[in-house]
Amino acid sequence: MTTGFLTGGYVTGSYMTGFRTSFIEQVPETHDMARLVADTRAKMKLEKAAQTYVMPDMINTFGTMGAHYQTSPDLIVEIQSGRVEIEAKVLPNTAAVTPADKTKSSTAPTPTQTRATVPEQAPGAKLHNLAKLLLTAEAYRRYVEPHLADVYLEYNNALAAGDVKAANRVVWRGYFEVVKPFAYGLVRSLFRFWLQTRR
Amino acid sequence: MNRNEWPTPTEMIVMRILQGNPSGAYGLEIVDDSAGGVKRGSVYVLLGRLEEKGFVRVLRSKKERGSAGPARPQYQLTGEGSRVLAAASAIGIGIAGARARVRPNSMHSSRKN
Repeated sequence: MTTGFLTGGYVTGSYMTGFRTSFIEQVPETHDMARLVADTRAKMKLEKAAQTYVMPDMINTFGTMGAHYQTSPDLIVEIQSGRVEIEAKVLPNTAAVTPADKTKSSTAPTPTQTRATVPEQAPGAKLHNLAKLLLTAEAYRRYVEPHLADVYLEYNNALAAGDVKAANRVVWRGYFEVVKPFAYGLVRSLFRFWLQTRR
Repeated sequence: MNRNEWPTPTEMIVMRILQGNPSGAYGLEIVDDSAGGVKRGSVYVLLGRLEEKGFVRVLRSKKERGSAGPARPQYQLTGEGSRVLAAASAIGIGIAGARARVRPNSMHSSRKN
């Protein structure tokens, strides 16, 4: 799934397939949003980033081939045979750029500010890898995976609403709350391992 | 049934909520319905335990259109879970709580024998 939003002259896309990857790709700075979205180079940059980061197996697992998603008002995603096409649309409130907006350009967020607020990785990516390493498949499926699924849902809802701060809060709260199921799953996994080695 | 397989009071809260949702409920719905009785960090541990005991079954739903990450599982009370819950309700107390009160004396008497 891709979520993205247009903020202050930058297109920021957060690409997520399952737990694996995300990208935040900055396109050339401009305050003319219509031109920015029509910019072929900018779109190609987003597409290239998506193709680089997307694992075809993850698309098979979590997405549907030939699927057409309109994940948020400003982005349409097509998944075709491991290739992801992203079409960015201008949000209604950012489409019209007036001279007054241009004078406000000095107060527009800088690229570094935008980068700092959006998580660089899909939520739970590291935890997912750690859990896969330490827990048995059953413990992971029972205790950790549903929790991460909830975090994803809330995270994407927050991003779709354009509330990056809330999305970040969801991620941190998710990490905090997953401690118990993770610890429980770890103990269960170790116990299983001990039982197997005892025989 | 093994004595350890009886549901704990918190597990019974989860089972009661699931009984009220015959078509199944998501983990977060259970947390909301419990009105503070079940925490978000504990709900999947409890559901996992109940699944292991055979009182709850997991319904793996297909991924919602346009959603990211793994599919969210729904949980449903099994027939055995319903029977155990009915039995627990008939007794009218949290079984685990009762066991905790009874166990020390019974263990003491068994040692004497």
